[in-house]
Amino acid sequence: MSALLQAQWVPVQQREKLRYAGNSTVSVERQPLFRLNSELTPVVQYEGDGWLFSALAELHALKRAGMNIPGLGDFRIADETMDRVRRLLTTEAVLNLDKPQFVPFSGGGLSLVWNSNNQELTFSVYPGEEQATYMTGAVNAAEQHDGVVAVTNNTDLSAIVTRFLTTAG
Amino acid sequence: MNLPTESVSRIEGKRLSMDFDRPPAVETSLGFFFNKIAGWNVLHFGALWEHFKNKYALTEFPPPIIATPTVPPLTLQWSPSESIIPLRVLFTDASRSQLVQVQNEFFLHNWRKTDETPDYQHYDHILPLFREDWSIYLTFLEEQKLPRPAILRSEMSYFNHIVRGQDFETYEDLPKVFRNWRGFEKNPVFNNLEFAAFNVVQPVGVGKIQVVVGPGVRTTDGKEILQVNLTASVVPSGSGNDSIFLALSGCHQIALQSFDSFFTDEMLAKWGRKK
Repeated sequence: MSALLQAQWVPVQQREKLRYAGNSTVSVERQPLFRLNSELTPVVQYEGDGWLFSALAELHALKRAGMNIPGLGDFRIADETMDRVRRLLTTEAVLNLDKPQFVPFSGGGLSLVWNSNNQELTFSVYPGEEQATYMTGAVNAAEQHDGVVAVTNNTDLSAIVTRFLTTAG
Repeated sequence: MNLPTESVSRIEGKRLSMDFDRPPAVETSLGFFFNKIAGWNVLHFGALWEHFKNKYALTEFPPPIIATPTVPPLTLQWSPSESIIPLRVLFTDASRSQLVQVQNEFFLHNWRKTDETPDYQHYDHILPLFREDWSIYLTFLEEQKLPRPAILRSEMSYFNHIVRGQDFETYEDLPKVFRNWRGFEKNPVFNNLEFAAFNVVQPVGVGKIQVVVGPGVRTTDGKEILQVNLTASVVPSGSGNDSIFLALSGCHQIALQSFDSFFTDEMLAKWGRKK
């Protein structure tokens, strides 16, 4: 809830969100289904103390630090990659997870990685590609579950995240 | 109440309007808030849509909103004895850019920017659309033998997106965006801000303007933005059409003046204000 307009909610409807806390602890977060104004354009707001704010700040730092290293690769993150990563971060499926680890790769792309109980989930976003690739399974295992997914397809993203959370225990 | 009826206001001899080459407004909203209509229930939403279907063929069901002025603290309560849980319904046209919002406590018309309809729609264009919508709504209430709404306030909002990377780069640039933000010059503690959000409420003539500024991510394109929501409200002298539309016109004047007074000349020029 925004710190700007503090309302005492007596929620009529509650939505329970399972929140992955990074150490196999799953907590239930109840959110009232009300808005404070009549704006319809979809915007995910954030406050200074949440992981989304921290993740966005880290993205800016990575963007500033990106370098083209001759012989090694071009690790400058493309603007369109940044936009696509933000769209992915603000989907309901990903907001249910904890803050990811960001790993830039050569060519302007970025991977988002979560680890729990030797299970790993990775989304990789590429410049020029509307879809992201994903991979989930045991760390360093030969068998992985992978594929491609649109960064705004919350239904498919939810299925991938649920699979990861289930196998991570 | 003596309010100008022109759609273009003047302040200190300067002509004000929302004519920009690249306006920051992505959405506007105008209409009336009123006491809950006794006897209104969930079935009336569907019946009302029958009257709007030719104009607004599509529907959406976003979460309901608080209808009272946003002065904290607020308490929202519902008990099982009430005939309706809070419900908000949108009737939209095929482009999803023109729509009405209906909840038991308000009736609004929104324009929202879409890829198919990116051009800003001025008040003079939207007002006749809203008048027609309001007339349909009142006719429906009369047919259903429901009382005419007792209007609490007329309201108009501009929802603006200040895009990071286009309109500003870091929070150190806020003095270039907002007239009220001086920044921290050569401050040993407050430098390289990472986050800022604020809320301003100002009486203006017979009405009030509220401005809420806060960061967010626009999910349609992933852009990081500062949301700047300007809401002007005026309490009309009565619930008749003359009074409430006069108050709505007052809201428009207040919103125009506030927009011009809130953003810096540098930003207004950057957006390409037309003379």
